Amino acid sequence: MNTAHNTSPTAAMPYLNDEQAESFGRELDAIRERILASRGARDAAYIRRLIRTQRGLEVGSRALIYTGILAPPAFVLGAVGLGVAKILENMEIGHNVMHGQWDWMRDPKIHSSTWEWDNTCPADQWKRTHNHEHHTWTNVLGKDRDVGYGILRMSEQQKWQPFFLLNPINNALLALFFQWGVALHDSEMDQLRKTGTLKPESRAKLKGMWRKARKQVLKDYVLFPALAGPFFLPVLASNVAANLIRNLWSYMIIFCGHFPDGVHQFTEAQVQNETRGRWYLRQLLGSANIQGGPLMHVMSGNLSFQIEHHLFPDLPSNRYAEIAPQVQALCQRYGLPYNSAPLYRQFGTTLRKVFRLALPTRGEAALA
Amino acid sequence: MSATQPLLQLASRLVTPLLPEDYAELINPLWTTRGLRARVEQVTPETADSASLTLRPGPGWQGHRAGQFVRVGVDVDGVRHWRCYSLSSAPEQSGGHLRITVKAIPGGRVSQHLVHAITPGSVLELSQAQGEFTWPAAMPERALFISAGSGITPVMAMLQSAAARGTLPATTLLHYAPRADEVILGPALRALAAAQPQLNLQLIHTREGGAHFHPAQLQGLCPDWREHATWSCGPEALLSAVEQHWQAADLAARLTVERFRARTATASADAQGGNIRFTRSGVQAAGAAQESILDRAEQAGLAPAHGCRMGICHGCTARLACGQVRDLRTGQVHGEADDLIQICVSAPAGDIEIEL
Repeated sequence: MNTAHNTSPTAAMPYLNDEQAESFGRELDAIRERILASRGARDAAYIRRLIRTQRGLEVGSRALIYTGILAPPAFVLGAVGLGVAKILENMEIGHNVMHGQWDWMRDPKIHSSTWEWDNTCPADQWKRTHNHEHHTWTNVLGKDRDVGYGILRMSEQQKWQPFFLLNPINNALLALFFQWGVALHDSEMDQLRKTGTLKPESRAKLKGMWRKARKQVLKDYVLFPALAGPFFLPVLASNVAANLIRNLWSYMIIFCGHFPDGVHQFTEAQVQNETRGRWYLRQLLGSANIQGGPLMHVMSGNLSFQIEHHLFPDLPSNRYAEIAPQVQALCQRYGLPYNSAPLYRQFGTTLRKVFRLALPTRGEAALA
Repeated sequence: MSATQPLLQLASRLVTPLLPEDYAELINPLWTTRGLRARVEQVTPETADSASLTLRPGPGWQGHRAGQFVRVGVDVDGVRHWRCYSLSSAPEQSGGHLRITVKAIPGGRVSQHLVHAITPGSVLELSQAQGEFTWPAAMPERALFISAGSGITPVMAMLQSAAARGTLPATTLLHYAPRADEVILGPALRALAAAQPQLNLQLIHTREGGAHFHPAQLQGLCPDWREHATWSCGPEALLSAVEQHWQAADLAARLTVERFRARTATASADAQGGNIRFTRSGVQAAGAAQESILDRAEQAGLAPAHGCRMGICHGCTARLACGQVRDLRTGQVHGEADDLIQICVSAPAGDIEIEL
């Protein structure tokens, strides 16, 4: 299903006229205000309990990996446990804390200005590309670099080049090494391919990235294995596996956020003078939810509610499930689509897009 | 010392990007090195609207001198608030515990919680002891204490401390409370007066016929007050009256005063804060030094436009009408009239007016 709606530069954002868009925005603001007003002890208890659980899981899993020396199956269990711990830390905890969702608690240890997460990407670089770039310019071609991450063709509107024949391979590489892809994102390595040189600020960013990544590499791939003495190899393999599990899962969830069929993309012209109501509309139209139960929600960092997250990036993630039915009902009243489907559908159509867009769009090769 | 250093370094490298204490506190929340915590061991009601909390501090606690206060961080409804409370226990009687005695202020978020809601087992954030409301190195020959309400708390500590050391001088305590059954720490006070003959305890019940502090009353109860080293603690009205009287007698140097502030800034050497006037809504609010203008505005019932709340997306910029702000990311103080500032990362540095 085509996602190219109204791409001519003068076309307005689809579905709502100006008055409707503002009314839509006001109703969403009201939902937000209700959550803001009701934040309290229960929400604080949620994140604190989650952090305690995640840290306990991490310690337990690392210990379990060492017991693998005596009973080899423990290596696998420990690796899986550690992978799950890393997923929880990166997604439900780290990503959301860095969005400022828990700043209201005024706990300096659980705060967007101080949180550093357990992967190779420095928090400050993440916040710049994600909170600022991605959330401000969501799905605007040429401005939101999450559309393709500089190496994939994920939009019909992206001009096809022979390089994009590598789409399936680059996609697989990105999935396997996702934390490194994320870590390199701010340095805009794709400029090398596009212009032949890196931007002047990239060098400093790469240095900053390595300063963080070095510590992660030392921890998972040198120190923990070294402590196992002659058994360093299985410990190393377990830690590699844990990071791989995190990479693959987070890649999949994140790709389901804005690439499944039915998600809209936008041109810069379409977002000129964007009002709050139209910003909300673009966030809705540019995002997709994954249907699932509480386990899906917590393991996806509540990005199963990508729509709610994009509408309200700084509301505590544990509240998205509560407001999703309200948002959905609101969309129904305004005649707006609400893109929500099971994981296999969202990821399936995403993968199909990766393969389909590796080839030039019908008719484009003729024009080129 | 040097044996643990490499171990700690290794531990840090194993838990990066966290710190070893982030895992240690899973076992015992008091095991922190950054900052200090205390566990509430007991909550003892004192009067109808006050209670004493017995606290066990973490291993980093460095002790206190009688009369000092601590800053306490309390989570109420999920949000951390900081308040100052005098330690009402003397170091000599502590036994590893601390005691604060809190009076529930009507409408006070933290005090109400500490007096009526908090349960033993709760963990509070804590600062090291601070303050100069203490005995001098050389004990005076005569001491005068003038206190009211919860102002008795540091006084109690000082009296108990000197009594325990056997160094209590000829002391007069003028304490004001509305009624006899509203004297905070009343039983302990009377017991102390009974045990220490050199303590002249004068309880004045202002709603039962007693008068508030005034010079003639002081003259009557302590004729040689000019010869006394004096300490005073209590509500602003009392302190102003006492300060005025001592100033008029040119004896300000003999007087030590302790003010309780309703709101305190959080940990920062330069704690400033200031009054914020939101010119478009006509709302005013007192801003703390580490709290962004954006947060304060939302608390005050406003809904300013904002974006990333990180000071990155500039979705929250507002015009500064007058005053200066401090950038919470860098500590830098800046601002001139008509400046656009990012309210999500700015706090008032002094009184400000902002167009919100």
